[in-house]
Amino acid sequence: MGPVYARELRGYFDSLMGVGIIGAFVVVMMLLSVLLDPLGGGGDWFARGDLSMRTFFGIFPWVAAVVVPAVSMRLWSDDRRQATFELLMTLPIPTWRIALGKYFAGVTFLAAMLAATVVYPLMLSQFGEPDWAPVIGGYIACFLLGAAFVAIGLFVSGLTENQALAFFLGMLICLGIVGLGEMRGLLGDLARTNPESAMMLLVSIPVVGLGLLAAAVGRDKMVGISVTALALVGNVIAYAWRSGQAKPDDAKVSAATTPAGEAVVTTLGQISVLDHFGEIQRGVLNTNGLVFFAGLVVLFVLLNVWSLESRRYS
Amino acid sequence: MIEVKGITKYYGHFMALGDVSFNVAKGEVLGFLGPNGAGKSTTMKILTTYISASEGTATVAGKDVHVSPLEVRKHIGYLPETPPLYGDMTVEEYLKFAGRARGLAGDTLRSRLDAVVNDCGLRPKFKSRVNELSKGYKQRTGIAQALIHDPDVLILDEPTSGLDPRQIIEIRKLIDRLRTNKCIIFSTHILQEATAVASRLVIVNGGRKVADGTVEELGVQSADRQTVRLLVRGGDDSMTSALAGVAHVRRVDKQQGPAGYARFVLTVDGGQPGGRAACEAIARLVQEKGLGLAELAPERQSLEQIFLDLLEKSPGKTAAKAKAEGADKESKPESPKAPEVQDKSTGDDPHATRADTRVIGSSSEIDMPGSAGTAASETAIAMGEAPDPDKTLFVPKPPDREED
Repeated sequence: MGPVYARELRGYFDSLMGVGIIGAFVVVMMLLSVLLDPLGGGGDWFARGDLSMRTFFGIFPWVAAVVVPAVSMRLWSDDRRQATFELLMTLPIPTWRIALGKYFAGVTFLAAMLAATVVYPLMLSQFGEPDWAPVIGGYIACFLLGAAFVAIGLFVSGLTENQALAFFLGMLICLGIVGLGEMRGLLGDLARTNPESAMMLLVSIPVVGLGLLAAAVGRDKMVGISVTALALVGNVIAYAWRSGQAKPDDAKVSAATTPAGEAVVTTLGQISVLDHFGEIQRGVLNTNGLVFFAGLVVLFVLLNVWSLESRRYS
Repeated sequence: MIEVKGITKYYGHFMALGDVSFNVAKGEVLGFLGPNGAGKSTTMKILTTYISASEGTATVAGKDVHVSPLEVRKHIGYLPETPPLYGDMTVEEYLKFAGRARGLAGDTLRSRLDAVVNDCGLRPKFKSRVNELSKGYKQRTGIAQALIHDPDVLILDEPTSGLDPRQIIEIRKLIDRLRTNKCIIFSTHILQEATAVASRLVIVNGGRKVADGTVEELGVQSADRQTVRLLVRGGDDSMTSALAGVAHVRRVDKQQGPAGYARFVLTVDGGQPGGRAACEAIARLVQEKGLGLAELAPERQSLEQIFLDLLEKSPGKTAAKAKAEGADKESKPESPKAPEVQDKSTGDDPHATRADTRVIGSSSEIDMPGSAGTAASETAIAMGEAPDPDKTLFVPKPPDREED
């Protein structure tokens, strides 16, 4: 694991690329934090007497969903493109240790990116007495979320030798995972009026994503395409069901307690990235949140190892 | 050291490898030979545990590739078809990485690094970035990587492809130096390579093993014909028919020689004794006619020919090809006793083109001037590729006049 980790880390910092990404990330984060702040807090950033990192942490999940896949896209794709993949896979090291070496290199780079943004709170601290606790909590949340995204990026990177494809797929999955939790508004309403179709949607939307993923990188494109098509049909049926069975407003109240509706609402709460992120940011470092992000990491690293190992048998 | 037991590999429904078995002992250098797409790389990938066989198995140093792949990998140094290099590292950094990944550290790593850098002649480029190396140095770096942990088994997939002749000779020398205490398998589709270093050859075609043995053994397995080259001062057309009458001579090709000379290329059957008898008779004939015998050179059957003969017999041959052959036989019935006589007065040196080498002494029944393209494209068909007369599959063997 050590040599692979060192080699990957070196790959990040050897070229100016790594430094460039870090620099760009800091600039983008700071600019967006300043520019978008009025939208959240109201009033001009400079005019308001209230300096906070709310916007910074608020936009991080979305920025990270784009930036982290760009960082992790090369982890395996680069090797897949060159013959070094064959070298790694014939080393007397188990694949999971190689994958972890690469994963930790990606996480180290993420930590460096986050560390570089510390200039922002330091800058803010010049204007007043900051409350450091939420800032630290925010950074922990950012790190955990980023670490989960690195695992997603690692997995996708192992599926294709095309870095650009790895980037786009990684970004889509990251945005999808964040977005799925944010569908509470839509699905939560639906769960109250028509819990069955809500559940169907909840299941079929990720399946559409998986189907697209399989179609993009799978050997047999038809499998992915058919899965996507089936899931889309499922979506259509779910919508049709909803409109067919739509009840007047009074049904909302009564249906909210159905088991299916309950399950959908609970699940949406459990898989909401932003909920977990927000809790940790507020300093609530509970097991729920930790398990959620650690679970994502374990899931996608395992998927990565499995996808690479299964290549030996194809 | 290596035992391959009936390995078969399917890629989807395509059978890349079918029931291939062979053994390689310590100290042996096995040349793994076959046209492109024959299954050479697939076999090597299975031996290195990069991929897994669909059926059958193999053991390396007593360890099964499917049961204990990590153990197998410890014993193997592997150079894939493309050298597995990180372009952003220097040769030193890269080899250190390879060594550490193989569990070397400290003094062991230093001494091994020193050894492979010397063995592979990498000293001048030690501090250079891999990206900036020439193809030859890249290949050597790839080999150095495979040697860093001093493995018992060395598996080299086309180690000389794309190198210039000088670099090829260097790699050959390197393999030769390493052979004493290792078991080496290297693949190639260039026959000269195989004969130059290998102590034994395994030939595969269309995923099947078609031959296994030393070069001499393969020669015996193959057809019994050989080629004799003759250069006569004052020879003319009457000489052609006279030569055709000599016992064991199956075919006579007259070719343009230097001014005042005539060159004949004879196909002789009857194996080595037949060849000797024919040579004696030819020498007498030239003397009797009062001509000058400038050159009489029996040639051992070229490996190219052995190879093509074996491919002919192998199951990789397609129905289309067999049909074409049948049609040709029909259109050109040939009595086995009547030697063919040909006058081909174009081209100074019969070895100048691969095409000529192919025509001479070919066991195929369709030998005729201009059939070179046909022969080449047939080979291509047999290999499952699109016929492409321009594709150089074999390096022409240079004339070896000194050969006794």
